[in-house]
Amino acid sequence: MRGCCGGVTYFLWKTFYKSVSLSLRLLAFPRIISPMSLKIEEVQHIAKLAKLDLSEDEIARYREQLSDILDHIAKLNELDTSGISPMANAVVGASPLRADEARPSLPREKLLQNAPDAEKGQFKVPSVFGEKKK
Amino acid sequence: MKALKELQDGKTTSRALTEACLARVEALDSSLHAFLHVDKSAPERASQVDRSDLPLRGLPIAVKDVLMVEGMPATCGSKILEGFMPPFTATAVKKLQDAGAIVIGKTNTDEFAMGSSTENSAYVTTRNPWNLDRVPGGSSGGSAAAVAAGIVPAALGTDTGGSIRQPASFCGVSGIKPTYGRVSRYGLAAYGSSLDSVGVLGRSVDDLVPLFEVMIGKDPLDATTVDAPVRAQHAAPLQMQGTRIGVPAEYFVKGMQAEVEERVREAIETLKSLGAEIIPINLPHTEYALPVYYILAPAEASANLARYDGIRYTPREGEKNLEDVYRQTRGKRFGAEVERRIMLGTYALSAGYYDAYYGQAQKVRTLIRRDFEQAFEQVDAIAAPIAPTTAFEIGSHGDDPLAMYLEDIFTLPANLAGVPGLALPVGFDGDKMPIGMQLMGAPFSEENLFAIGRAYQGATDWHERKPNL
Repeated sequence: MRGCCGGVTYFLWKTFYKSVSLSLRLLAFPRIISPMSLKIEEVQHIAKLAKLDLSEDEIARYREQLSDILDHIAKLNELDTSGISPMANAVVGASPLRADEARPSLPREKLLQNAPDAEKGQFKVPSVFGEKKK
Repeated sequence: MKALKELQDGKTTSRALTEACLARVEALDSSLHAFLHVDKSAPERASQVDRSDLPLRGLPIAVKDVLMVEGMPATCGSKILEGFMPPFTATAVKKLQDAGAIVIGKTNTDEFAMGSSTENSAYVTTRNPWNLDRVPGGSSGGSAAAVAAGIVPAALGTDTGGSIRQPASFCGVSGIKPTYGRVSRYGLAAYGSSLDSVGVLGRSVDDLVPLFEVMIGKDPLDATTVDAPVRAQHAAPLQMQGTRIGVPAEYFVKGMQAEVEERVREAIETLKSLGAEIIPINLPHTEYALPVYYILAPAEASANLARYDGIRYTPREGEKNLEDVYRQTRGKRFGAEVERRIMLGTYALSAGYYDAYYGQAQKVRTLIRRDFEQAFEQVDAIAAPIAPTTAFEIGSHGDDPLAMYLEDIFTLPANLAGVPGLALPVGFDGDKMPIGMQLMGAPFSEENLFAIGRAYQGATDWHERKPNL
């Protein structure tokens, strides 16, 4: 095993790492199918569907990063998968059905112990429609 | 396992061992940050099992913070579960406790196990015991660091895309990612439900087996578990003569760190010298594993993480109305990587894109599994590198999610195919950072992998090397 000699080795390692990272990326995704860029409105729409309150900065950053990731994912379009059945689960031989029998559940107070707000043995939520009056 | 043998032989007690673990946490964890929670009462619990004849008779262990242990907080490395106290214990942990194991604490993880460095933990970044400026890998980085630093003899981790094997590689320890369905996922905070598996990290294969044997089996609370009892062959010394080990060309790519390839090839030579037959094989769809994974895992995550809504779990943000609570709790309390994956998954599942993304990814997943099925018609196990590089510097991947995703290119295929993977330390690079190799097997063939791993560790001493701390 070679010894490590401080700063110089480390610098070389770092430079090397950057080139590894870049070439791996080129290798893993040699062909990028039509670069696709999400629109700001699309990112806002996804955030709304996912119920995430995001700042404008976050929306802008995620737009760039998600577009980058989706570009790479487009590689899957290279493959002809006609006639291939989708794989939804990794289990071979498991039987997902059990007898439909009543059995004890966890006690109510234990399930409510983490609730930010609870009343009379139930989770309490703010108003569903309208807004809380100050 | 050395600690277990000493307990069985009466050379030490569970209480003494547990106290030693806590003393080591005290001495090291202010620089390592492997733990998110340490249970100071563990020695008292240890006293209660000291004279029992349970299989694990008081063995102290650590548990990754995405697994529920009643009586200890579970944050999953996320601010959205700050202060959460789970009302039940995960089946895998419960089985170990029933067998006499003592959980001393919860280890750090990337938020909801999404990451390859523990830098995505909302609380703290764990340091690599071999070099405190480097990451320990992830997402089970806290467990890997705790084992490598000699704090605990074994720790539980989870592996959705490499999260046991990659930190094991980066920290120079052993780790088993079981076959999907072999260990119950009940009580594991779900990330990618069709990929998640619960496993063990330990210094050597001998440290993994006693825990693995206790954890496996059918669980009525996890419908995907399969009743596959322990097969005995790993107890006998392996006849390496006639064992066929496949070496996939796709896992030795231009651009990977040269020393990783060198050490892995040397390890394969060692297996050959022990009598194994080495067979070059192909897993032609390997390059598609990354895009498939980054559709399926985020899609599953976007559904699984919908439950964190500010209603049932501590804490809550916003107050105007229900919608405001949902959006603010999630927007303020989830970290960037979790938000990215939720959004990616939401997009892939949204109207108009479902077939193009999710549907296509599921079909390519079938092709990846077929690659493995065909390979296992020719070979008993596959030997390959775990990560293209050794542990990288903390902060070096900055805000570049793709650079981080590329760390997992060699580990994702086993999760997509649902096959087991065993990580073994096989040497070091020029900077004295550990390098690992994985052995992958057909579903439910962990015992074969353990046998090969034991034979390898009988002939080498990489698993006995310890960092200077």
